[in-house]
Amino acid sequence: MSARGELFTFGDAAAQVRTALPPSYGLTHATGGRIDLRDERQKLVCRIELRALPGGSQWLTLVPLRGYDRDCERIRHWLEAGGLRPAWQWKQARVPMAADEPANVAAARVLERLLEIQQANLPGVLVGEEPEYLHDLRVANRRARTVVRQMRVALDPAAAGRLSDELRWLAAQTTSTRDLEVLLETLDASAAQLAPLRLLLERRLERARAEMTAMLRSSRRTQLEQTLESLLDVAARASGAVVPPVAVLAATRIRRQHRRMVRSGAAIGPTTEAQAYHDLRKQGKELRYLLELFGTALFDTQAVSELIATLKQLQDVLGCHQDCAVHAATLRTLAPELAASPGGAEALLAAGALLAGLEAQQAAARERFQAAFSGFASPRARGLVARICD
Amino acid sequence: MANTARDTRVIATYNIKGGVGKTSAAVNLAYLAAAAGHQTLLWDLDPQAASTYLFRVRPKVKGGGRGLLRKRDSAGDHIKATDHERLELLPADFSYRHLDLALDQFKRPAARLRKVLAPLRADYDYIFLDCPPSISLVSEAVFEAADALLVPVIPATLSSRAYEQLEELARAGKVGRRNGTATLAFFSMADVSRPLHLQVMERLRGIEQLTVLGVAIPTADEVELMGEERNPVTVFAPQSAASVAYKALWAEVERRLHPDLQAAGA
Repeated sequence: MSARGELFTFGDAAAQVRTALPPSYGLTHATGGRIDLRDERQKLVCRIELRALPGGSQWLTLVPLRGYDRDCERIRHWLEAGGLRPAWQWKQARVPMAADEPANVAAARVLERLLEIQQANLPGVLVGEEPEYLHDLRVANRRARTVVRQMRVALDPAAAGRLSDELRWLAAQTTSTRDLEVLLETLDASAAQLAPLRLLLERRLERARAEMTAMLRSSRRTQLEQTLESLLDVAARASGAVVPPVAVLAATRIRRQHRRMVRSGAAIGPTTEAQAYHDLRKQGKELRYLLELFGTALFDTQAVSELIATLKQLQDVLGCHQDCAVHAATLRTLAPELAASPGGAEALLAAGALLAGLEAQQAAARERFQAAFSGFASPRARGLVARICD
Repeated sequence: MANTARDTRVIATYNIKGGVGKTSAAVNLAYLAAAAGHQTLLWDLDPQAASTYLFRVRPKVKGGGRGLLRKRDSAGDHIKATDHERLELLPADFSYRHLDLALDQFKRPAARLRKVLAPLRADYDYIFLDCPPSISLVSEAVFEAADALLVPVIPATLSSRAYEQLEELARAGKVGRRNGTATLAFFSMADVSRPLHLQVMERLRGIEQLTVLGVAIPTADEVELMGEERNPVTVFAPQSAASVAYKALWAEVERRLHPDLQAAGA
């Protein structure tokens, strides 16, 4: 479940709840954005916590009363049938597509949905209260860049290039904030000796957030929506070459991306630079997005799911390796400032221990890499790719 | 404030005779306990399911009374929230009419109810038992399980006869068998404008064997209206005489059950 709630709507949530429930059900508004739901006996069975969030979305969390879980489940079904959308749809990028439709048309539809997700999350990012908005925006942005890059042959090259630039610009404004948020989340809040470090990181996060907000309020960003839409429109008009059907292009890209990853991964050894791991991870993300956005809609779903699961094991190892590298680099840059702050000596020692921990985790990730990569490069995984693409 | 150490008290509203105000007392006192911040459970043991009805809960326990007694840890699975904070209900079920027979299956039938309640003590400060009007194996199990028997008595001849029967039981050691079990009677549906009621009240207060509380619940339309409103009196008529009386009664019961807290407070 999302921290924002279980269901959401851009309409009037209370009115939608009213119309979704059977007439025998009672609904009363309690104070503090709560709705009490009563069954046909007028017994209170479920409470809905209502939150209005930036961007006009309203989020509902259903709280069953003890002994009324089933009633609450029934209510959830009614609400979904009545138009309230489950939380997972907030960032759901999959769109229906036919195997033989032109790749540019299908890609444009996926991109349109991904832009929609970014736009929906932007107001929340600007308010800055919940990290989930920024995370969702960045994932949608990365997915969109993947679609542009992987489907480029089917898109108008100039428009696709500019689309990619604009998306990259948007992502770049948010990276520092996200990295600092993640690092702060990993810090043990109860460790007193880490308090000066936490304070320093919070200050940096505040600065990063202020810079990000300023950029996201700039004219370039305010025009971004229109820019992206018009670029998408042009890009989707197709490239000069003959546009292949989406299934053909997606299969080619998936096969190629898998082959590329197998090649890159095989070149990685115990002493390889951290950058090589990071590059492999980025390739892995692209393959995953291809599989999720096109593979599930077009190919053998079972094979796609199994390949995603195998890929995920590898990505978890690479993600751990990369997060440790990013956090360690941030901590190193903070060291002089930390030493000069009150309680700095102790905090420096604690940060040193933290750094050692991160390095140990990174080393452990390297040790796990071979096993995870073998699974991904195994004949079984190749067989899955063949089942998907052939 | 809720008890942090869960010094749980089990209170049974009991009388051999029906229609004396057991359910009204159980519902109102349980509500007042919860409203004062205590985690409270009311177990409706009466197959007529009046408490269950008043809280708008379906009178149904999966597996019936027999299942509930057989699996010692299962009572929690059947508990329902009421519409009131901190007040929960273990509903009645029509099968409770055979609870005597179900209890009789056990080696120590009188101890069974206490065993079923044992795991619930960790979750509640007060557990109220709304008992059916009878003198049976169920009553014996209730006497064994309860820390206090709360006995509503209508100050009229027939009702006082039931009270005297209870006194006989107490004299024979059948009531309040466990150490420290309090038997607290109070006058219910009392009409102080009627000389007969006053006479009976005076006579019964003179019996030494049982404790009669000072507060009397008056005859009041509001108590009758609970069936319409399906709520405790204090919720829909907080200023009424009945509501005030129940509040005073709860204060007195709580004082009796927690003399240590009262002393600390004083």
